Amino acid sequence: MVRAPDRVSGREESRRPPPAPSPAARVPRGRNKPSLILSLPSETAYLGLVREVTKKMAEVGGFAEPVAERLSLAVDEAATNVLEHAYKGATDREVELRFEDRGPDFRVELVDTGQMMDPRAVPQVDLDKFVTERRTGGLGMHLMEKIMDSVTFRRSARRNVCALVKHKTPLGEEPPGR
Amino acid sequence: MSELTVESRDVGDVVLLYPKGFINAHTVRLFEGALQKAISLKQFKIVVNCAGLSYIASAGLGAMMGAIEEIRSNGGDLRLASLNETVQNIFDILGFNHLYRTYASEAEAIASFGPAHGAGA
Repeated sequence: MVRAPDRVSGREESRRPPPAPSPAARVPRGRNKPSLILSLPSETAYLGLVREVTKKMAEVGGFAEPVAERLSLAVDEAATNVLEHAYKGATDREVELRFEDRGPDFRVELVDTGQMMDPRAVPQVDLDKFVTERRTGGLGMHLMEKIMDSVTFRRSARRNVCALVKHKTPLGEEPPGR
Repeated sequence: MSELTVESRDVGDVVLLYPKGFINAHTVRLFEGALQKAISLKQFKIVVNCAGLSYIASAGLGAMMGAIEEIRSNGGDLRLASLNETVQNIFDILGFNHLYRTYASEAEAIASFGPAHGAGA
């Protein structure tokens, strides 16, 4: 019996990190379009590409350019979190980005096989403390939560999945700063 | 074209930094290096002219946060000029406008360091 692999949990686990992959993209069939799955090496050099692809997908999904720009920042921050915290700077791993345009929601998932990140461990941003205590962490998470309607983390089959969701609103009804 | 370049020039005792491109976790070290170089030269009156800056992620904002206390404790300040809409919006989201003075033009930012205004005020 041939079973279609589950897109998150059905892959075989490997004890060794996979070889550094080349950027690859494929468009899954049978999904609400536009959908895209993108696998990237865990290198900061690809963050610019992450931002550009996210912005393009958001625009294709109907978001105005300023909103698409902000969504690309949120996904950039999520990818940066994966590289810095889940993979701790290792450049021989893989980050998978899944873009899905589901009805009223624009959804981006980032999948990694690194250490699990506990979002509750990220301190709340206090700008005064950032100055007096020279803290620089937590800004990325703060931006993600400010920009997106939902930011969730889950662990599935030894993979971390960070899901970012933005509800679509008619043009001109976007709340300020979102 | 490189993703980020940071040129600098001095106007009196004010150092101007010109980031061109975008600042994210990949390019931030170049920007951080420019800030640290100014600090190491005891140039604590810094204007970042953002006219060529298309985008800044938290890594770049963190670089500024990491340097600002030393700059201000030495009587200086880090001020920004000519932010585009995208960068301004990121500042608004984070509430950075309460932490950093921003100016419409480079000339205004430089003038803000004048004796009448008081450095780092």
